[in-house]
Amino acid sequence: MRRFIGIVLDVCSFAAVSAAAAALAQGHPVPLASTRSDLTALRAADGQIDQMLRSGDLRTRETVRDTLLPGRVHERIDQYVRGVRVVGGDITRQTAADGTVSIFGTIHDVGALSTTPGLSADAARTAIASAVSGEPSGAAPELVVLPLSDGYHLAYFGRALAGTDIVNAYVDANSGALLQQFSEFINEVGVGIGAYGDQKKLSVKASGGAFVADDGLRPAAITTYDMKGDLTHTLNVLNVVTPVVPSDVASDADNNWTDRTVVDAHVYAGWYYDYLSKRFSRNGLDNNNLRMPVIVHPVRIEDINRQPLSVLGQYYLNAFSCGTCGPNGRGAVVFGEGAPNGAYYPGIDVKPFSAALDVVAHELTHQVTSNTARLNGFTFSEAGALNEGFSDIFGVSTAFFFLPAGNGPMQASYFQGKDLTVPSGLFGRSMANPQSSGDPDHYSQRIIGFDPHYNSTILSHAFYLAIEGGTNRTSRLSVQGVGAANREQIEKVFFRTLTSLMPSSSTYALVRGATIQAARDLYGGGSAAERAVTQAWDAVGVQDRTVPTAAMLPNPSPSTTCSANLASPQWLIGMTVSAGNSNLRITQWTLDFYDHTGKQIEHDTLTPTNFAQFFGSCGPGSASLLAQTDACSAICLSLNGETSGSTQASFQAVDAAGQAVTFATARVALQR
Amino acid sequence: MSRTTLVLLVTTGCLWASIPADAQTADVERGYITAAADFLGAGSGFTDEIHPIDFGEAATVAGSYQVKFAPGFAVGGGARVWRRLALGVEAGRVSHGNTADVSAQVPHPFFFNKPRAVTGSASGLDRAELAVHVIASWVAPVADRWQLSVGGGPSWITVDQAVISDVTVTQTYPYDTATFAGAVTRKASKGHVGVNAGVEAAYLLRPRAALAFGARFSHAHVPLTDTASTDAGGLHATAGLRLRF
Repeated sequence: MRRFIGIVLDVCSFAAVSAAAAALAQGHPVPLASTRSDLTALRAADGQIDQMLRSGDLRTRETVRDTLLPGRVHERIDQYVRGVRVVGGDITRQTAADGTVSIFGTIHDVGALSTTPGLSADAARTAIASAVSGEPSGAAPELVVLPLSDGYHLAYFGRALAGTDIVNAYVDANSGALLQQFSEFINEVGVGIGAYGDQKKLSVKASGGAFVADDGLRPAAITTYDMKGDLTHTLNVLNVVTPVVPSDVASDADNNWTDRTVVDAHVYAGWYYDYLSKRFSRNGLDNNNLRMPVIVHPVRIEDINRQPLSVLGQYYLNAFSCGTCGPNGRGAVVFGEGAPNGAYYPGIDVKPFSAALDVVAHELTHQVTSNTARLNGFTFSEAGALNEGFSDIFGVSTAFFFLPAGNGPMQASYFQGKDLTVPSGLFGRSMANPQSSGDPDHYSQRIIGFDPHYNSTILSHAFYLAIEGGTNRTSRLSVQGVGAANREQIEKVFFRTLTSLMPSSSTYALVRGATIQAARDLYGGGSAAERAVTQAWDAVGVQDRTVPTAAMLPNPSPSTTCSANLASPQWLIGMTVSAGNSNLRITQWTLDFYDHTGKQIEHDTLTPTNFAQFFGSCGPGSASLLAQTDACSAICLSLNGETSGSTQASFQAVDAAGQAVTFATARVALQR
Repeated sequence: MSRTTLVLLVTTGCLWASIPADAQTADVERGYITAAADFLGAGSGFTDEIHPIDFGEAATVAGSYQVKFAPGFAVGGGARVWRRLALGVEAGRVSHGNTADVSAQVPHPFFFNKPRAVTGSASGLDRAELAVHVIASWVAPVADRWQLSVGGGPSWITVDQAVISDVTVTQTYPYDTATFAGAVTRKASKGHVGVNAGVEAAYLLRPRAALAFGARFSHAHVPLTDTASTDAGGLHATAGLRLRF
């Protein structure tokens, strides 16, 4: 007890210490444990506590009556040094009608510690947020004395919102340096049921007596947001107008998750992260563990019959990825609500779009693409189709990585989106036989300017042939694939192509060369993988371009709105210039216009500068094209009031060897 | 103390019985109390397999427990009930920290039916046996200072044993493998009826005081938990002081 009294005196004497003393001080804790087994010690400790309470060095935090033993009262008492709370300096005192029964706790001798901070509370709030890469949250930081292994620190304690994690942090009260931090959340593994009644495990966090769909076990934070059918809020979050709030994170009270849309979305997003990690040793979407926001329930299913077609098509019967949307403006994926039990299509159950692993992986692959090749091409370019094709490839590949092969629900097949509907396979695309789903299996069947999903199957069918082998139904050319057991080789070839070799202006021809190069890089020249990839491209009709070409989208529809400076009718014409096997520099180009009799009515000569201005929709944005790539344009044309006629573009250029080359589009008819 | 040592000790006591008597007498006493050191030889181990829920799925944790030599003490007393037949009660407690080999199949945090195998060893699994023996013995003076008794009877043996309730593992993403970090234990305590039989030699220091040396075998099969049972008892050696009345 003598030691305790001495320490109490030390604590009381701290008030005389200059405020200019060090912000870090040595000291030591003094544990207290006194009961009626040593009445002398108990009375001494009791008296000292009363004295410290009177001096303000101890303050009663709460006093509660014992619910089990009548007459007993429990006090919780905190230690303060010149008004600053000492973290971990607290005592419990139990009293009965006849006096104190027990005392337990710790009082700290904090040495010559100054309690005057260098930072203001506002500055500390900013420092805390900065230290944990988050946003300020909660009340103003509290100035405290923090015991650490190296001594006592004067610190601020506050809270910040880091992503969806609530982080408590201590920062030095003078420098703002981070001293300690800990999450409010605790990692947990929950169990839930998916759309097909299958049981899954969810990596979640415990928070405030509930569980939230925020993955704390994987290196990248994967957070599933439940927008609870609030489309306005969804749009505001996607447009980075409104930040997400903790209540947006999907949650469950007992960690036995029953929201099947949330279960599938959260689990499958995690599996996709695992696929990237295990197959390609890639750390998430950007290879730097970029946060993965997953958004579900953007609309309410009960509103399906009241929604306009635009909402129906986008937020019910669709899933999509946006590379610049979402809670941090760095991308989000959104899964539509579906249309269950014939709610929209008679006799068809359209599952929530998170129900299919290949669909979830497809959307997340768009995020990989937006962080690598950036194939966000113009409609008339091939980049858009390649973007969709690669997403199909790695969507299906993710399914093969985790699920058994087969055509039933929850089985992996080459039909992208098979599990979206019951009966299965009513949505989506076949990679094995694209014609069966109304899609092209050969480059000659592509439709320039059409839906990129449609044109994508030329790529995904080549991928399929390179693995499984077989004969292309259009070219009748056969491919010797590497075999399903070696699918990893072709997956790696295509992934290397997407993430390391492809520029944003990629074309089918360029991807052919890039995949063959990737196969050589990984497995050597003459390898089975190189042979399979080369034969696959031959089979789907994609060859190296040898000469430059130009094409106009045929049968353009007249437009009355594309330019205010032209006479009506007007036509918006998609046009593509494709470099051959050499880089190309446009030196001059012309546009010729003909009336309905074929008589030339205008001849415009245009410059390389004009080319860069007009052909900025895809490609380099200049008059110089990389070999095997395209430049695209949508040009508004008029026949000066004529309602029908035709047009043609011609180009003069020099190749990499300095040779002059000329090429032209076909003459395209313009009809009102 | 090994079983060999116990046998030697008993054999030595029997040999001493042939030493010529002096003025002391080894007649059968009317009653006695004894306090002795008690040594239980290593016993047969036992196994256990439990299925705690880890990561939303049942794990399999198998423990193979060793039961080592355990020291302790014993006290007892008795009285002659008919001619050279005595009836006594002896209570003893022995304890020791034991070890167990642990092998477990720990569920994967992300996937069902993809357990990770881990193995390790758990130590400090304290085991205590508290035995109460009722002993009917036939007592025979074999020399002036030596007395030999042979007897046996029912026993009640309680086992307090730290048993493994789960394992902890170290693991990092992607969690496809794990390594054993430690065992989570809990106390289990159960008792069961058994039997005992043994011999005891007493060397009279004074008419009312003797050194007593005994060897006793006891056994009870104790259902320790719902999933594990253990053989309690075994070969005990005792050495202590006996006060005679």
